[in-house]
Amino acid sequence: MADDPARVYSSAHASKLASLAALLRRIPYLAEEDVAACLPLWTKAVTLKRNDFLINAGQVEHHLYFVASGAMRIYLPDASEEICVGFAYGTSLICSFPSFVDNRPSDYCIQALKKTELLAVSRADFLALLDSNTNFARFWRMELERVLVGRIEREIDLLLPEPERRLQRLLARSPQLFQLVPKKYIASYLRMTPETLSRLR
Amino acid sequence: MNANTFLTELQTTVRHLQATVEMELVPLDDFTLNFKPSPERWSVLECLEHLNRYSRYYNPAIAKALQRVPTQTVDGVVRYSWLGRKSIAMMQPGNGKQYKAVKHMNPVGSTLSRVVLTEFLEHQTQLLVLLTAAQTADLSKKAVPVEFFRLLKLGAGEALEFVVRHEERHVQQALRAKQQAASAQLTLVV
Repeated sequence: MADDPARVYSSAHASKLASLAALLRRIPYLAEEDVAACLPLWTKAVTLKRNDFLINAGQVEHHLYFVASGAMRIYLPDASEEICVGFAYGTSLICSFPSFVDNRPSDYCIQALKKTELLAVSRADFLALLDSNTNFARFWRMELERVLVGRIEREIDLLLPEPERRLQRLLARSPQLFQLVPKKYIASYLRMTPETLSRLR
Repeated sequence: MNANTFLTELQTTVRHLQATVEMELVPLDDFTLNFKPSPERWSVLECLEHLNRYSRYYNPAIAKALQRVPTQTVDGVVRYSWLGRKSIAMMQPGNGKQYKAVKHMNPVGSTLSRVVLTEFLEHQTQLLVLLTAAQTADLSKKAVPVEFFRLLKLGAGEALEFVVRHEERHVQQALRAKQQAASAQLTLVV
């Protein structure tokens, strides 16, 4: 259905598409025809209430999502605790990445921390776009590079024994995080107790 | 405070607000005007719609009061009541305090278009007319019913200052929302 031009969207869907289009136009090497090729693929609109799940552990991720507004956490549901491994908020692209890439059940859960508005593109449509559109392939490669650098930074964070240095590095990278996400999840992400985080803040 | 100095300062501030909105906000695209970093935080348009809702009440209420209060001799003074001083201090931009807007003044969830900008500028034109009319009025006599509890009254001077400080506060907030929209970019999170 992705390329059906007669498809009529709700006004909420249309306004999210408009946001996505505005953000795509900010990417300098994407031309108007690249944006036009990409937009019709985002056929699914999703609205999550607080505490709703985008994906649960064990499910396979068939979509990549654009977060128009809201906040989400990605966590590993371990037996003793839920270990927070990442956050998404307005203007993020998010999916349970290992599941999306390898087409296998997700180890992670993605949960809305407040009302969250999303658009989704199917895995098949998105991969076809990357194959057919070199500008989008470039965008995706640059995002993967940025994510990889971020992951290396994060690995260093986790190797640091001092909680205050882990916190300082996170604050330097994502100063806005504390306005968007409850502290207990940030504490989990930093591998420290909420009490330690409160003492350091 | 001397009434003339008082009114001149408010006029300057309102003209500055008009210019800021015309130059910094009117040219923005729809994405930037509607951008919300998170659902409960206000977009540029929501900040201005909140102010429009106050103006829809206070502009006519102040106009009516100015017609009723006695005329004032040249070089009058503006006196503050406890309520007036308190209300103005609460709205003072940069006091670091956040308040939750009462429900009927909270624009979250309403459908907003660029008309909000036009309406805001119209309210400022009216406000400048009121500030001129206020030059010959007794600004201290209690005459403007408070929006949330109409048995309480403010002097026309206090009410005008309240409206202007409140506008300064939320125009600053709108400029911050604009800044956040400007720096927003698509970012993959895994």
